[in-house]
Amino acid sequence: MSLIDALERLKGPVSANASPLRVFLACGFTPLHLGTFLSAHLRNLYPSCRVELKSGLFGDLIGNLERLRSEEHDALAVVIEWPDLDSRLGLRTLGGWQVDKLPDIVNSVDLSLKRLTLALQRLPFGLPTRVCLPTLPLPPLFYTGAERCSVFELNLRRSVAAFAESISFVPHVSVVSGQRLDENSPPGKRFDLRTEVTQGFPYKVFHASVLGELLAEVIFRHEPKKGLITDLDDTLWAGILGEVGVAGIHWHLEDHAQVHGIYQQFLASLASAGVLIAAASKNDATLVDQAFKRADLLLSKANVFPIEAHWRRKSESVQNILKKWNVLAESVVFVDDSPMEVAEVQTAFPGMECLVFPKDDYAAFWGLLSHLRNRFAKISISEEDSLRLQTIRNSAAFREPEGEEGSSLDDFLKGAEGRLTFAFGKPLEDPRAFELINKTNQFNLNGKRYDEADWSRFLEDPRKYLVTVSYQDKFGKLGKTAVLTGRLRGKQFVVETWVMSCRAFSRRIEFHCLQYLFEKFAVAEIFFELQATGRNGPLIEFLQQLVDGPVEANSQLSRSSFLRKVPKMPHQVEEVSANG
Amino acid sequence: MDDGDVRLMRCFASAFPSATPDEIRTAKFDAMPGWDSLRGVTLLAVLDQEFGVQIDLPELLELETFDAVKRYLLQRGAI
Repeated sequence: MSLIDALERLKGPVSANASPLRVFLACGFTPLHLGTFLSAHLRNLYPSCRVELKSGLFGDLIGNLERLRSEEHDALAVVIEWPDLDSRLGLRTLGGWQVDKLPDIVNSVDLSLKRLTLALQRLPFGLPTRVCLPTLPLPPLFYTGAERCSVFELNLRRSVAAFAESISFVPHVSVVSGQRLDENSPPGKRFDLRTEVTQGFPYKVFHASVLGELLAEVIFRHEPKKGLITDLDDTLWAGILGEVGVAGIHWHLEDHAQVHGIYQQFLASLASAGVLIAAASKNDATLVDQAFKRADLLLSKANVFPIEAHWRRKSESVQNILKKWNVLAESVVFVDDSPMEVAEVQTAFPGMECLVFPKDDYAAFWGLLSHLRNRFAKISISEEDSLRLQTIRNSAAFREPEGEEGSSLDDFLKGAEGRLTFAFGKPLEDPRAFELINKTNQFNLNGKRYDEADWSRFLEDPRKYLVTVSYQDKFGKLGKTAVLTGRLRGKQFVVETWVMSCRAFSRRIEFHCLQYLFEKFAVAEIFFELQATGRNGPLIEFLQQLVDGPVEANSQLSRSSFLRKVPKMPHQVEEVSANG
Repeated sequence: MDDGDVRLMRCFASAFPSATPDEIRTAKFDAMPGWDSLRGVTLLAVLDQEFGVQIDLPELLELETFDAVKRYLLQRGAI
């Protein structure tokens, strides 16, 4: 925020019945632009409030705190700079920097910090108080030069650190994070000697802006989020569980999957601080259960509740989790590596914060961790925090599961602008169909696998057809996601192989596949060479929606039955020749 | 009004929120509604951010008016 933006923000009208937000800014310098920025950021954070900022006498920080009438304020921001602890550490007085004066400066700072501690301890419990430690550089008063730390400088910094530690135990007092300030305001670009000398204001305008924003954020923190719902595949771990199996998922350095390990460690840390953690994954529940039994998993299954692992929509999983937790969507963060899943959940729960897990971007991943830590920030951990998960687990066991539509899938899919490409033919150079058939388990008609010789024979057989399906939408490309093979038998098309990547579920691509077959081959029935494999439940569940009667081995689907039961087909479809 | 004029007017209006555009254009600083030295310092900081020109308070007071500040900025190639 520039100064002109801040000033204009403060010119904006305030409702006549706005409640006052009375903040005292305690500092030893002229608050000037820091006050402007703090007020403007508070206005942004609390638009329904009338911000009233007061400050005390110039050059008397500790006295201002000692004289403070706390009942007149809703919050207190204390900004300490070195001259507040000893005026010789400032540049507006000329008390001397001779070597023999340095020990006395250290002693004087200690005394000032003791006075400050007492003043802060005397403040009433209900007054939120935020203390910012010195942000500006020490002046060049040490004989060791700028490259080496003088023992006096180290003493000064130790005293300030000890002071910060002691006041952090005072219930209403919090210390503003120096690390956060360093991230946003480079330490070497904060001090303005010109304005310090001519105006009594030591900050560059940019530093004042950053510090004002940080103070506004910490003065009245938002309620921390209560729960985090995480995806599993390519999020909690690297790899698609259904494709690579329990032993094939990774989160360690040697497997180039360290970010997933760090993420697990981070979630375990959140859980230990009382944050609810749940998993929502389009996955095989049995496999997920086995994966959570891996001894090297850094996030214990005991800390994850509930685990929603099935093939239905993510928003449905999220809905179920919210019910079991009994919390509002606004109190929850959802994390998934798929932008489409994130968008689907966001559409269903507009108040929920939905974030993409940036598995391939280290900088973004670092930013995500920092962001999440802030979202779940607490000033202290209570006993109730450690009991929360067990309480919810117990309550949920008595609650009946309820089915309820989270949002309109039709609307969401329509907005996704999906495009399906059916490649008809048998390209000899493209191994993707072969790979997909041989590694897909969940949405797999019969578990049939091919070796290279089988595949060559299939490709050479003129009676057999191959259809490869690619998908993309506004969220990105999924690439080749489904493969069908089969043959014509009278008025039937016999599907011999049908696989689809689990990443493509819930997009109705499977319905489009069947529609394509009916139209392409102008048949009245589709015959499925179905075999239950113990792992292909998702495909069987899908067919049960369409086939009249129970789905068994060698089921068939009539065109009329399909047309009667098929939902809206959301995607644009095109056909290309796979042979170029 | 040219672009420099608009930007300068925005600076003055933000520093002197109770002054009208006419007052900003015609009044001397010390006669501007709401004038005090803190307002002056605020105007200096806004001018610095907007035009990259550092002016001291005594220098600003010598300039006296909106038009004089504009000429000053023009002479320094800031607008």
